[in-house]
Amino acid sequence: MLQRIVVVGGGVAGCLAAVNLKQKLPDLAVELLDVPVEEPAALHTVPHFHQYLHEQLSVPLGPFLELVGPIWNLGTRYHWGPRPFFDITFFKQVDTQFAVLPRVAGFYLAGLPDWSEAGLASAMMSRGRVFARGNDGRPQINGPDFGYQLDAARLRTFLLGFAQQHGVAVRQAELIRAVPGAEGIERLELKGQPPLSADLYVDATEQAARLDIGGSRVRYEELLCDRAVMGIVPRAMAGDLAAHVTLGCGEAGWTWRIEHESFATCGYAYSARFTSDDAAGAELCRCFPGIEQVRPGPWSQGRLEKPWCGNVVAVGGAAGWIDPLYPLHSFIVAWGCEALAQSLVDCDRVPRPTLLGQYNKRHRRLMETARDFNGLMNRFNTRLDTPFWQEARRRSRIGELDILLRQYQEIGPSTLYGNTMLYEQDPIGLEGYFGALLGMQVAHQSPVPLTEAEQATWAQLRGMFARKAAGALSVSEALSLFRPQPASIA
Amino acid sequence: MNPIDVLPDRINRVLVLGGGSAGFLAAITLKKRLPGLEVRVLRSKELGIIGVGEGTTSSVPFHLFRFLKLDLAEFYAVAQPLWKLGIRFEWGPRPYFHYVFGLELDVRYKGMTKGVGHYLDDGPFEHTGMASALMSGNKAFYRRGDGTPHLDAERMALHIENEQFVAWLEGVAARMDIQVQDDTVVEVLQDARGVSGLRLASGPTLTADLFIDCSGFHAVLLDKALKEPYRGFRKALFCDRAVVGGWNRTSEPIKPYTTAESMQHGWCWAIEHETRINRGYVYSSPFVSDSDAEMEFRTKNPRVERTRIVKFNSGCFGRNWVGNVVGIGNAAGFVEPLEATALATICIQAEALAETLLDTGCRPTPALIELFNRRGQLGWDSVRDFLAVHYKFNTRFDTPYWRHCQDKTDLGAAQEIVDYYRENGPSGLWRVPLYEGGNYLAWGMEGYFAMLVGMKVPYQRTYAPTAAELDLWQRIQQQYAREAQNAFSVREALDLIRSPQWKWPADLYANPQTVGLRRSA
Repeated sequence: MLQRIVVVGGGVAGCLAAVNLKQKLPDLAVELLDVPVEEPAALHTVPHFHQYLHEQLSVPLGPFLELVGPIWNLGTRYHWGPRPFFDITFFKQVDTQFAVLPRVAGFYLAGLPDWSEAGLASAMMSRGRVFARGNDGRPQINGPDFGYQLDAARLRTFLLGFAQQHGVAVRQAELIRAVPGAEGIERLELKGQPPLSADLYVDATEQAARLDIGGSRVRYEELLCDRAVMGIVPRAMAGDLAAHVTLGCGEAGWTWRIEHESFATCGYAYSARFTSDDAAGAELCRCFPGIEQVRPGPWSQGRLEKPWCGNVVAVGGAAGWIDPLYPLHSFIVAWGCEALAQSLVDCDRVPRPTLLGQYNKRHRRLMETARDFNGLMNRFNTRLDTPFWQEARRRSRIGELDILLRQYQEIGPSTLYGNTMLYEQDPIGLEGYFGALLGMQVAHQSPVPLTEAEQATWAQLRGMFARKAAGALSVSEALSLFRPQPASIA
Repeated sequence: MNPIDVLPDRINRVLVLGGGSAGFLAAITLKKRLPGLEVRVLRSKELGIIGVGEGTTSSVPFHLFRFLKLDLAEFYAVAQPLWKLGIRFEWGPRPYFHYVFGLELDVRYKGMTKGVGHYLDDGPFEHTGMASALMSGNKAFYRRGDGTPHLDAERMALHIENEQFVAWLEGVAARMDIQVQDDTVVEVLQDARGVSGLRLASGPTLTADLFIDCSGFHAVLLDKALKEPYRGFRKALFCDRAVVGGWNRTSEPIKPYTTAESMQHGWCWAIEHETRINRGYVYSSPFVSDSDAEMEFRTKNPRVERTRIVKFNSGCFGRNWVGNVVGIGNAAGFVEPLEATALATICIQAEALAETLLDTGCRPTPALIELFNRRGQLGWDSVRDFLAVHYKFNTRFDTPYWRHCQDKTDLGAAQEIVDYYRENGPSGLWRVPLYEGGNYLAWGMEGYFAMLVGMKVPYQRTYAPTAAELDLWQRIQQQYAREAQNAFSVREALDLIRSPQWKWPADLYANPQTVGLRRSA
């Protein structure tokens, strides 16, 4: 029976893993070795992530909002494909049925010239709003409708404190190396400290993967980006706060922008085959005027064959990394930590091979999901015709999404066979896949053309989206709402 | 841009070959969802119908009353079904165990740290849950405080006599403007698209845009004409015959469940109808002669009247939709009725066909046909694999047949589920990846736990329940037993629903079942 776990790496993934384990298995000795870790400066998340934090881990909302300062995330606005932009949002705009229209919403999006009012979320994104008001004038704040945009440093600091409060022993250390043994790792050699050993080791050292003692890796060769450069843009230069992430295309890669209250984190993932580091840096600065603190970051796309092997479990970037075109990374980190804790509870702390096998199978499935989505996004991104993009399109692979693409091309964004095309609990869903295809104007047949009546109703609906969005809370207003107010004098 | 090179002609006219439950269910489903379609049924006396007493799963009534919105009261009046809460298996070392509709083992009660499957002793599943307690007392429905029966559609399946079921379906079809013609097919004409016409004994040739092959084991169109390859399930399922017979009920209480009794070279079902009990001994002919099988059958069922033998070849056609022919029912595939899957499979395929025609504007396209077939194959494989688990671990009798099952049964995708269980026991934690790509008939982990725990298949992990947990579990079971005592017997329930003031609750099938064709938004 496992008695002692050491989590190596004091970044976000390490803190989450340690807290999750200690909370669910209070009798377990959980130690977090705060080895410095190079992780992405910002995290954009799916709704599941904040539900994981606040419901699974009981992270209190008030202190979290104050100390971490998250900005809400309605979805991603992609400057991608032939349209000026399109959105994939958590609030369903594609895979949903309006009572007043006979078809699933996606059928009405194909012909839209402009995505700005494709749905309520898009209409709010276009206006820097975040929470619409109900009929009673009160803002509607529904957990499943938004994720977070997070400053990783602030998140990590908060989680470290939270972990300590919950009984995780945290200590600073410098890892020299992990010594292999019969079951995986035998001990950790630390600088200036005696070696450390445990029953289970969690590798949360991100792309450095310090506890990787030779696990086989799958490389995602068709995903060409292998470098990244990033920085921050002060709010004054970055414009109004937006409750969404923005993705764009560069000459040899793609750019991102994640919002925080007083600055935006911006970056460019690119391929060293198609541009130089200097040129990429210059392109980043052109793309994001006013960008500061520019620095490079690691970017190696692929995954471990077996994140959980013997007495070592890799979570977060150490288990795998892929262009976060869809914010699945946060989902996979949360899943990895939660599933590990649940597994140990379920097996009474005696993990057997089939348990590890299912954990690894699920991890593989989630990574392949991200990979297939990226393949779809690259295949149909006709925005630029540089050598990088030609190659990215040519080499794109879409794996299991092939049949979904074919059904879409033949009859449009129908939900038919959804349960055959997608596996249970696919985190991207038809909303994401059809959203991408419609967003990039991939052609589809439609057995029955839209009637004039449908067009008219759809136009009215868009008008309603616009009106509701205009009356919605802006991000700043929403932030004030959640700030503790000074006591008022009655 | 990926244009479809040749758009299929629009389907306006459908011809269903076969007038049994498959034929009429297919016809009614299509006509209901696509009222503009011309749907005709060609019924041939030569083909006949299989005609044994049928059990269903809980999904069949959902198809009839939620999807098709047929009249529930009329169904009860004409088809005269009884209720089936689950299957009682006289298999393995326990006196019996149950696999019920709803959850009994894959459930964790507050105050217990694991699922129920971890707390069972060696005895029968007497009061393991609501359904088991009812089944053990020969009761149909719990009695609520106000005296009305507690009806839960997700936990209710049916026993229906095939003849009465088909008679009801015929009535429904007639009112829906579905033409029924009685004749014999003497020749199947073919062209590049598949079948071009059916020449009848009476002279004319019937044509259609789409042909539904519901001709049962004959598979006149899919097999005899189109020669679609058949995938036998010989590596998993070794039974190939059944000797079938029944008798009129006298004093036996009506059981609210199907019984599956282990036999020396197979197993024997018992299906309860109001005035009749139907039994069938499913056996493997390499291991027992027809006469010996009949002797064992009659010895254990002395009241059986005349019997008949049904031969079958379990398996399915590689594709159920080929060209302009769609096979539904026994013409698509067959397994023994160990889990009463036949009618459920028909409903699933009929629904998928109707929805496919709807969403393609009656011009089915290649990816859609491929998805129809893919879903169909996954369904067949999932049934085959689940049944294989039944046979592999049944240690009730030690005969060459059963030893063959233990040694040779190929579990297919279920091997992964069994391997996981062998180490970890009845834990549902990893159900999602374990089920990946399968489970279209929604056995759930409940089904696998019922069979594996029911047959006491050993596993490595030992969990020792605390005294407090065992005490709690005892009290829970006693509660179920108490409530069952006061419940409606089948006879009482029948009297109630036949009384003039009875009204079926309008919302009985209001909520969708969990696993469906579309990924819901």
